Amino acid sequence: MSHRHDGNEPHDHMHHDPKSDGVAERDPALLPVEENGKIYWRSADHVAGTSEFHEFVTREFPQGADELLDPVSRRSFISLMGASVAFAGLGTACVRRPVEKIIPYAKRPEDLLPGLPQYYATTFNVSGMVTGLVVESNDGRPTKIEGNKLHPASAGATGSLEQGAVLSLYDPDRTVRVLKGGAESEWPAFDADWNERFVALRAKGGEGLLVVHEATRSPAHAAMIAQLAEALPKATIVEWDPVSGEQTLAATRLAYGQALEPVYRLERADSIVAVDADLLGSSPFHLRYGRDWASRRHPEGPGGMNRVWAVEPVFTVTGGAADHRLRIRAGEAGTFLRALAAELQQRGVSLPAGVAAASDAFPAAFVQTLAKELAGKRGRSVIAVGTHQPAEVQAIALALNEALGNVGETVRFAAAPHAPSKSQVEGIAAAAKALDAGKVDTLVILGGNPAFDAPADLGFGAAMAKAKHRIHLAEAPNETSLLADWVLPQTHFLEEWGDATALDGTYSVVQPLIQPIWDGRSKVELLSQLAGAPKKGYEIVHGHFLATQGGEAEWRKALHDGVHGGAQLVEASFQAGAVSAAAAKVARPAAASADSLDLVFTVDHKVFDGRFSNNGWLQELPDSMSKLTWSNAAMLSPATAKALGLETNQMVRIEQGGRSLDAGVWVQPGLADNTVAIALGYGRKHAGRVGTGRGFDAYGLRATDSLWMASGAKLSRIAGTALLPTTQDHQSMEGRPLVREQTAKEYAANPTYAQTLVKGPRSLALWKSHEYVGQQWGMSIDLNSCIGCNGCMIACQAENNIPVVGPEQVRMGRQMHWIRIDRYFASSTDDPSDLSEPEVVHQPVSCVQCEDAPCENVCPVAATVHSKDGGLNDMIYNRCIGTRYCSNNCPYKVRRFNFFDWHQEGEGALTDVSQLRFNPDVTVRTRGVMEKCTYCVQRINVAKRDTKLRGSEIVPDGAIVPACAQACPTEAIVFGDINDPNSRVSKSKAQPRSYEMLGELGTKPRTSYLARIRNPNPEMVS
Amino acid sequence: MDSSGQRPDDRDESPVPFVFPAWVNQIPTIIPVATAVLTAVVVFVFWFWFSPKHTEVGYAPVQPVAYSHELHAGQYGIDCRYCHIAVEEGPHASVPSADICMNCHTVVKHDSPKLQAVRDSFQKGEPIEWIKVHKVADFAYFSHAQHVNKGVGCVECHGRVDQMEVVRVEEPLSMSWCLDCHRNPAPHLRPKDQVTNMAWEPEGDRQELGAKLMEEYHVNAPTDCSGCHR
Repeated sequence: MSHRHDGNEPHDHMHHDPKSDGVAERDPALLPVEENGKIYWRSADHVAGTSEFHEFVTREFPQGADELLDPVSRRSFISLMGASVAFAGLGTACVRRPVEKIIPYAKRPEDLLPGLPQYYATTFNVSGMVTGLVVESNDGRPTKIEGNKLHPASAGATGSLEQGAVLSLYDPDRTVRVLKGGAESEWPAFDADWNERFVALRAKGGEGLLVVHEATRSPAHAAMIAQLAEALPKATIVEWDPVSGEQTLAATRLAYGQALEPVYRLERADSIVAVDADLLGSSPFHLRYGRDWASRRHPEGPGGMNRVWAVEPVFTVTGGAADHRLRIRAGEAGTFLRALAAELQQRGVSLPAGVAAASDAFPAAFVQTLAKELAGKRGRSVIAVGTHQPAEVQAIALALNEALGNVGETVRFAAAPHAPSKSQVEGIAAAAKALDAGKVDTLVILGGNPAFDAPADLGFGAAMAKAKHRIHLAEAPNETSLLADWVLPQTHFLEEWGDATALDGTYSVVQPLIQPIWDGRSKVELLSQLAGAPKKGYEIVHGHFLATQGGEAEWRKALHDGVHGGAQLVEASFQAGAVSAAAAKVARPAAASADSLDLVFTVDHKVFDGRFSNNGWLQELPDSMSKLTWSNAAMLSPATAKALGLETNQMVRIEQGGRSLDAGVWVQPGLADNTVAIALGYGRKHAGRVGTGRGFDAYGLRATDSLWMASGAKLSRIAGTALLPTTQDHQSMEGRPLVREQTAKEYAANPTYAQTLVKGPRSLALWKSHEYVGQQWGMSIDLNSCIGCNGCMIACQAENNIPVVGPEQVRMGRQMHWIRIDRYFASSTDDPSDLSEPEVVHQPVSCVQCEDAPCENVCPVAATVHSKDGGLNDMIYNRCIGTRYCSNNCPYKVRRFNFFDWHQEGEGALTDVSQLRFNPDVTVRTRGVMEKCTYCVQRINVAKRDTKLRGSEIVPDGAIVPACAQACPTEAIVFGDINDPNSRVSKSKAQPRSYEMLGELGTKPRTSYLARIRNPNPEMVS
Repeated sequence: MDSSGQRPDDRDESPVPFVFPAWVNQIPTIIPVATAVLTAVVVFVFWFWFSPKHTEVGYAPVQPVAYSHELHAGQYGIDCRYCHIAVEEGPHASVPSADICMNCHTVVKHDSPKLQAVRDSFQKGEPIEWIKVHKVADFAYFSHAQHVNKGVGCVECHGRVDQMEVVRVEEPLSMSWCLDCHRNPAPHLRPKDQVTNMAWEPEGDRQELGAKLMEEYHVNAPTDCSGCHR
């Protein structure tokens, strides 16, 4: 490979001044690769061949990354090292290992054997997202979260938020004790104080008490709220979440006269139309939807492939998975649906009057082809609208689903008993007003952070200070806690009893895995106390179960299974008249321009509404589309950025509705033009050691009348640079056909295209090949099902004790994720000025466990060698001396080096409590050691142990599931024995679209990929 | 020397050249020999005293409770598994919790002052802090279950615990020691029902019996790095 430049050829850089700018000499090998009429690229820098990209490709780490920088210089480091070596020599000359203790139980709990993990079912329940979990506990410490196969929202999968929860449990910045006026206090002091206040409040029937709580799908919580309302009838109880699905409830109230949750059956849908709806990325059922969607993405499978049409303003995970994608303005979703209705009506679909309205705002071919397809697939399509879109817009989609006969087939409705009777926004606005008017004597906030995330026009924080007594139950002290006089420690969901109902109404239990670490109380416990009858969480939840769900035997079973009963689906009758009236009001918004932009707020799938800001795993996770870490940004489409003369990393001021925000610019291909999109939840001022000051606080721009979108925003360049940390150009593998894709039609004509794309002889092995007998492990990753949701990345991080490095280190390319997801944009042109409407392909890459591994040959100390059993590329940390030759020689760029002891310094530094999170089955690596994916060898060994203890020798197929495959909602990752022709992985690898990435190098990778097959409507393909 | 360059005080003395003493001739011999000896000593010191054979073997710390394996396992013949309950299922053999001791000691020697710590632990729920005796390196993952279920006797690694008043380390527990057995497990195997029998002696050739047991128990001791390191 004459054009390869590796870190061991520093001379290359002598000729190249990284600061000269603009476009470097365009080395053809580094330019985006062209295959099958498309070009694949990672970033605008890549397409343009700028020096920044050149730098990332030619050096494994950018300039300076492998040099020791702060906080100690190399010279002082060496002198310190010398001294410490001398002391070490003196101190430990008498070799006697330190005394270690073995501390057994005084009384051993039943069923617990030291060193063997236990598993309990529980439920993740955050702001309406309910996912059934099975949590692994090692010697009493919850360490790893997996999905509960019996739970409808999980189906065995987990997303990044669920995976990250374990880190939040051990967050050293949690509320560790009761605080009164910022000083340390105790629960009894609060209890005495509250008892006194309760007597006074009860005398007035609760007048002057304002309780703010978060939306929850917990029946026990709802019962406690009802009990509080009964005990103190004049108290005001308000529900507030910055991210809520209440517009959907409003839409169903409009269309069906009752609050309902639409539940889709994507496995039955041939056509899925997602209008500003991130079904696969952020819906409360996204894991389940991912599983169901993927079940119809196998070209060789029964039923044929489904087709996804995404119509959206920002690039979502669903948009990336779509077969057709149309960029629209956020405010045009209703207009689009009405235009689609008009086309459907012309094709004989009968709709309520007033719903259809033709529009020329969208490409006629797109709308017409879509309408034709939907008209021909009655009862076999789904039209979904984002839950943040206005109720009227969502009602139009409900009307379309009714008209197409989808309701009852692919669209069903679940009861929504948790639906608040009042609108959340109106509730919080009234609460802020009452506070401001001094009408509130006692304010109790259960969880949440309204001082940070309530609409900016309410001035909630300032109003809050006017309440005489302010009580905040908080998992971690936040912006709201700063304004409270009592801050009470709240339990994490892994420490408390509770319950929840999934989107489809399935009941599940929240059971604790550990005693409250910081003596916290749960929300239901505090609610019972507020109502004057304090009870323990178990009494409340268990009691509520017995009263409403079933007997003791059912309770035991519910604890074991995690779920009880099934979906609570209801039939509802459609009220066409109401929808007609509402739909007619949906008008096309006034035109936007570069001077008057649409402002769109997005929900971040990492920090969510800001509550996970202090979670290092989530912060460091690269965003699915932008690959940004540790920050949000003012996202602009390439055309809009050009029109405004802005570039990535420049600071701008966004002004809208009299409010302004300074933020860094990120140019995001695939975004609607004349739109600035910004994720909520960043810019926390008081989040803790990890989350404070990351990104820009979009809540500062958000008002009651513009919760999700606003028009007339202005952008102006201000001084400064944001230096947004991103991984999009990291670990690039140069211009070679790494991702391969075809359309369904091309696949039918030439199924072995992906395998035969690279012509010419393979490199020959220099050494005699290993003999692979017995069970040999391999992996197959289906690019057709991978949606780039990041579930695998964080599951791997949790399983394998992978450290967090922090934003500065990410910018240097030192992130440690063992599995990364390479996001490639694909477009039909390489003109850098037109990157607006790219397609996306995600490719998860971890160590591919080459049979002839280039890394093994160059290790001077044999710290990476091949295993006979299983054929793994073993990495032995205690032998590694850190030469980094292996990483340099790895064509896949999957090896990660510990430049520092990440567990001792920086954002991820350990404390006494945070080290409890470690998986005891995996070595914690230190500075100077190379590491990489092991195929979860600890899980392989455990499965082998269990098989052997049962007296069998062959580990059954499916008994070993690596962490990434277990988390994956779409089952894109399959692992197993490649020597067994009947294993799932062998069958997957036998498909004609299976190919080896860089197989032409003769590495014989054990991980292979299945080419992506797009399924465009044949009429849309020119 | 040239007379014109003579210094005044040298004038009367005849020049006597310095002669090295005879022993200096030995130096070329002494240096290599001394170096060799010193090297041998240094190597020996590190090889022996710094090796697990010396640093590990013989370690016998005083425990907080003067528990005698010699009495319990030896004289009374209590099976190892009565106390070390997890040995057949888990990675750790497990040190017994106080309630296991109290199974007997609520009746036997129930007022012995030596057992005060055990009674306190049982009553107050505070664990006894035993001192770890056998230690495999942190970066090696070892499972008791995997070994005792494959016919590796307790005595193979722990020695005659039934004869120890105070437990001491008998084997180096080093990587090369592990590998000696993993490469040739046969002579270290015994029938499964004899695993906890410290005094068991094979009838006939042990290698032959071991080979038979290897087949019967599907013994496949890994020698790959990832067998123990991960």
